[in-house]
Amino acid sequence: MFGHNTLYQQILLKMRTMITFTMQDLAKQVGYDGERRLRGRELGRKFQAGLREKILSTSHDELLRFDLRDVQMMDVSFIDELFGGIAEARGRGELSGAALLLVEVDPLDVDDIGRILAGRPSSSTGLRNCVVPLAESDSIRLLGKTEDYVQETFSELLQAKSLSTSELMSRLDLANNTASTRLKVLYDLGLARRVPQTESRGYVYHMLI
Amino acid sequence: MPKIKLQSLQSYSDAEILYQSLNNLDVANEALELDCCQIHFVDASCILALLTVSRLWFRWTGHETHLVGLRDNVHEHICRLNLFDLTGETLMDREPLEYEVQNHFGHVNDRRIIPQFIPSHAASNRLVMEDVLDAVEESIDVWFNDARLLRDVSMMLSELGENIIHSNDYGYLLLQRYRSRDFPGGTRLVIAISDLGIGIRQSLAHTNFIKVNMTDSDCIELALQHRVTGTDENRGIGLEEVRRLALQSAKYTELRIRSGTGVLNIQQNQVLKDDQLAAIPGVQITLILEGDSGHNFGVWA
Repeated sequence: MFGHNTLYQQILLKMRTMITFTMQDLAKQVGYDGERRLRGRELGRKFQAGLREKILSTSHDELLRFDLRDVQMMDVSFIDELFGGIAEARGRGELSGAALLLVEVDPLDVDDIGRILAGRPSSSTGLRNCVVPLAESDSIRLLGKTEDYVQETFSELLQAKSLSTSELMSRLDLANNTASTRLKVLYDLGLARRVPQTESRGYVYHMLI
Repeated sequence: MPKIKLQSLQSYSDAEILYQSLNNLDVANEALELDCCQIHFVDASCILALLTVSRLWFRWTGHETHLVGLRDNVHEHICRLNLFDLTGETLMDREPLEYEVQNHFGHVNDRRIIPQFIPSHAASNRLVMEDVLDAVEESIDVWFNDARLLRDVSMMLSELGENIIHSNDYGYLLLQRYRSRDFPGGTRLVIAISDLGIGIRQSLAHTNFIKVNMTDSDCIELALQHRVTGTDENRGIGLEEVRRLALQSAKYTELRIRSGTGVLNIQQNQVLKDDQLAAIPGVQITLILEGDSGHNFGVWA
């Protein structure tokens, strides 16, 4: 038992590894040394490709903290391509890889990102969740649009910090497969991390921070 | 010599009269004369209308446009803007122009932002646009000292400027601030942007949204809706965002988008349409923001 716990803690510790990068780092990665303002769809797509590469090349166990404090200005077209593109790919199940958490975002940019992501499902057929998490004080807020059950499950996980399927079942009075699916949806959207349970099949899901 | 007598250049309505006069002219293989004796003041939208008329006349006939009978102050104004000397022109760092106009308009500030956006040279146009935004932000900062307004205007210009950057024809942009007895206590900021490109109807032609019987103003209205101007590339939230930003940026806002023979005029939340205008290529946008006097410009100031 002691051995299992130690292993479990080690996994948890590894899970909490965070990689922080800035917009300037991303700019360097995509070979951009142009204007200070980040404008237009063309540039947004370039940065989106770089961000996808970073997400895909980072272990699922790690968390990517995207620090935006060095951003002078992003226009809505750039935001739509960069964050909208990533959130939509997650929402469609086309992008796995490490979870992404936005940190140190200007409040006005927060408004813009949230509004643009929230508007995307209305014009993008079949897209139901288009969301990125934002670190705020000691909590995490979702920017964009989610289905009600996603928000509800996220709130439960945010409160509990970690949840197994059975724990979610009892908290929300759900059937086993429903609870399991809900937690997996969070994981697929990049809103949770998970580790295999040591004593049974399935996973324990953890809040991003 | 073909001649147009200008009565006034104080608002976009006067710009429309100029466009209509141009359309009514018989195109001749001669220079065009614009009689400016009556002109005391040139609004930003009219400055761009002068540029557009000049460019179109040159395109049609190969001849230049002459401004005749300019009053001294208008002459100085226009000279400082180098209106008809655009070849090879780049944005230069210059103090905002300030001058008196017959005690009617009070102090007028113009930012000489008529850069040379080069048709089909998006990469260099992006750099020019960056200079434009620097100049605009500097002016807004000096004129209004309002960080939120500065950000909103910068965002709007960034979106609107994309059309010019990617245009296959000439594009212009001008920022102007003035006070007038016509709007007591109000400071007016006018942003005029125009290009001589394909226009909104043509830019929508590849989408599934456009219908045969749509007027030009219908097309403009359509372009303001979310993502209509885009398909697989998910383009087309720019104009919608401009509308939203404009409505939140000032106590009084007017956004006028003209393309082809149509115009859509958004005054606060009221939308007016017209399709009886003179046919002019490209898109002409006028954004008017009004606030209180002094620095209390925006609704959140």
